[in-house]
Amino acid sequence: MEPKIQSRIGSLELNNPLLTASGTYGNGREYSNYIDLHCWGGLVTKGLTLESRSGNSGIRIVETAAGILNSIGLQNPGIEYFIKEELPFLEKLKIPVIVNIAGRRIRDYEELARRLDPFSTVSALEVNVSCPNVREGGLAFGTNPGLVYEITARLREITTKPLIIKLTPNVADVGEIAIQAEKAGADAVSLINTLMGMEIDVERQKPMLGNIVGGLSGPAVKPVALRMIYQVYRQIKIPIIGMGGITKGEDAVAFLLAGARAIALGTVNFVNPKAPLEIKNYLLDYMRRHNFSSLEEMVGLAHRERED
Amino acid sequence: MLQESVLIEKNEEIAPGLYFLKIRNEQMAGEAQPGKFIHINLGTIYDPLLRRPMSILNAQGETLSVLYQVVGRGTRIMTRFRPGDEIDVLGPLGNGFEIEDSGQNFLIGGGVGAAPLVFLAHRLPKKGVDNKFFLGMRERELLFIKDFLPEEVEFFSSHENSPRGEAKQVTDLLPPHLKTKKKTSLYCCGPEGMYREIAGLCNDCSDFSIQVSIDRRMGCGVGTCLGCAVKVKKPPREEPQIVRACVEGPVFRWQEVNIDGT
Ligand SMILES: Cc1cc2nc3c(=O)[nH]c(=O)nc-3n(C[C@H](O)[C@H](O)[C@H](O)COP(=O)(O)OP(=O)(O)OC[C@H]3O[C@@H](n4cnc5c(N)ncnc54)[C@H](O)[C@@H]3O)c2cc1C
Ligand SMILES: Cc1cc2nc3c(=O)[nH]c(=O)nc-3n(C[C@H](O)[C@H](O)[C@H](O)COP(=O)(O)O)c2cc1C
Ligand code: FES
Repeated sequence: MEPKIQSRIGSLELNNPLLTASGTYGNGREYSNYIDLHCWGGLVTKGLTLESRSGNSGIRIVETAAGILNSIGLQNPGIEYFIKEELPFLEKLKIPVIVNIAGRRIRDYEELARRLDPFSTVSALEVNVSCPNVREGGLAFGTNPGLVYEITARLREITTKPLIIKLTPNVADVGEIAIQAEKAGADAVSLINTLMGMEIDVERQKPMLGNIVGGLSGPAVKPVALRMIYQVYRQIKIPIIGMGGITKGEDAVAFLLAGARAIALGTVNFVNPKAPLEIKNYLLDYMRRHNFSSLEEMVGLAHRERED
Repeated sequence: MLQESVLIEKNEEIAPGLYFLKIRNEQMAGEAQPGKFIHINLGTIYDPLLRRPMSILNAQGETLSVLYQVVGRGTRIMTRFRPGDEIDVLGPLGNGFEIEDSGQNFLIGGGVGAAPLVFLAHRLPKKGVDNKFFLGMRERELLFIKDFLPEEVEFFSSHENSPRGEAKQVTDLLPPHLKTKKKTSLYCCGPEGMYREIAGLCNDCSDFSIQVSIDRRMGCGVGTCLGCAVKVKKPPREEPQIVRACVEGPVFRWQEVNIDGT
């Protein structure tokens, strides 16, 4: 029998556990030339703010050892444009759409949630409280457990859509933040966002990125992401969407075993647009080999040893 | 636009540090246009991680070629590609040069940036038009480019056409050719400083249009990562907007990218 790879995040049902990572897939349109978007369990859209943002200037992407540093700066056309021009395209796809939102003040998040709430195409909200690339941006919220609680609680009052709080790894205790999100009524947490870092051009004797610092992603961050997911899994009951450096089937399986109920692919899309197909095939094959009939049996299995 | 495993036909060093790479894929070659680029997976499985963008040097029948300069880790790895190997290529990507109906076409390249102009030279109308190719280079390393050009294109280089060594840059070659009443199209590919100088030289020439190819570091190459931002001003919009070099470019009108009007 074919193993079941359906997954569930709160009330959101996914055909498979693979999501796009916010900011790495546009709103799906570009990649629809290369791949059938239905291979995804869901699409997570590029970080959306109330007003349009032009992003950071200067060099925005720098390759590092097995990874990249980016300082895009949440460039996006703003919610009005999104509702008018992007939602209709997303609606036609008939794939769960998770809209990633970001703001400068709690009020911005509330307003975004309020305006997205009426649209049935928006299956869930992912709340970015962890962007390292805008000064007044979410990171100030995401590193403060009290503020994460407050933002989550306020959004919980505004929307019944599944609420996913996206956590930053740039904190001493990610578990504490996850606990606050859960307490305040989040349906899930997603982690990790990028790790803050920088690179220096030694010939020019200057930082490489226009924004000086940026967020590290790609295979280089995978062990860090995996550890955080493993840790947070022991501290909360709500589902975890795991991401950070997944490039191949083995990585995806490791994230599930660490406790992720769904996984998102980010940077790998830039290198290999066919990655979701390859990873899905690997997952099915892995489940057959290990006699798993459903994803449920795998999630968090790596914790078994300690519980024994 | 495709993501395909393509066969390598040739990968040869044709001048010190400069390689000619030829791949086979009928559909890619068919969709190729001057100014568009391909995005090459180094096959290193994740370190170095990103693909490398390379302009199309030429496309004929089932094959497509690029000319690349070894400048770092990725291009050094590319030199190890062997005929018969397969590599993963995305493309053709981006927005290329628009061939205009002009009395003269000037193709102006700085260094290896001249590659897409070679392709363009092959696609220009031949009858009743003057097509001139200007190449700037530091040493004579790029002179072989002349052999890639169609016969009817006149060739000038800062190396050859400067007997006393006074023409150091491609812009030193241009002034005598700019004294013309013919409608003239300039197609440029090189460093941005070169575009500024060319535009400065053309300041008094009314019937000139200038297209330039903008170089940006790329992530995805297909428009999703927003790493390759270019600020442009497109009338009638007053406000500058941010577009993507990999989708809306790499070729732009000079007036659009030169937003401070200098
Ligand atoms: C649209 C486009 C077309 C190009 N066409 C050609 C061509 O026809 N021939 C050619 O020789 N080169 C071309 N380049 C430049 C070429 O992509 C870089 O020289 C190459 O990526 C360098 O890789 P590396 O690993 O050897 O260098 P490294 O410096 O080690 O590269 C590190 C990172 O920086 C990026 N990078 C470095 N230099 C450049 C650059 N000048 N432009 C963009 N990204 C850069 C690399 O892609 C990589 O991600 C083109 C660039 C663009 C954007
Ligand atoms: C170019 C780029 C843009 C990103 N933009 C966003 C964003 O707008 N909102 C967000 O929550 N995360 C953003 N991220 C973070 C990713 O969604 C993801 O959390 C991170 O890259 C780790 O996964 P990866 O290693 O698979 O890329 C971005 C990442 C990259 C590389
Ligand atoms: S390289 Fe990713 S948007 Fe242009």
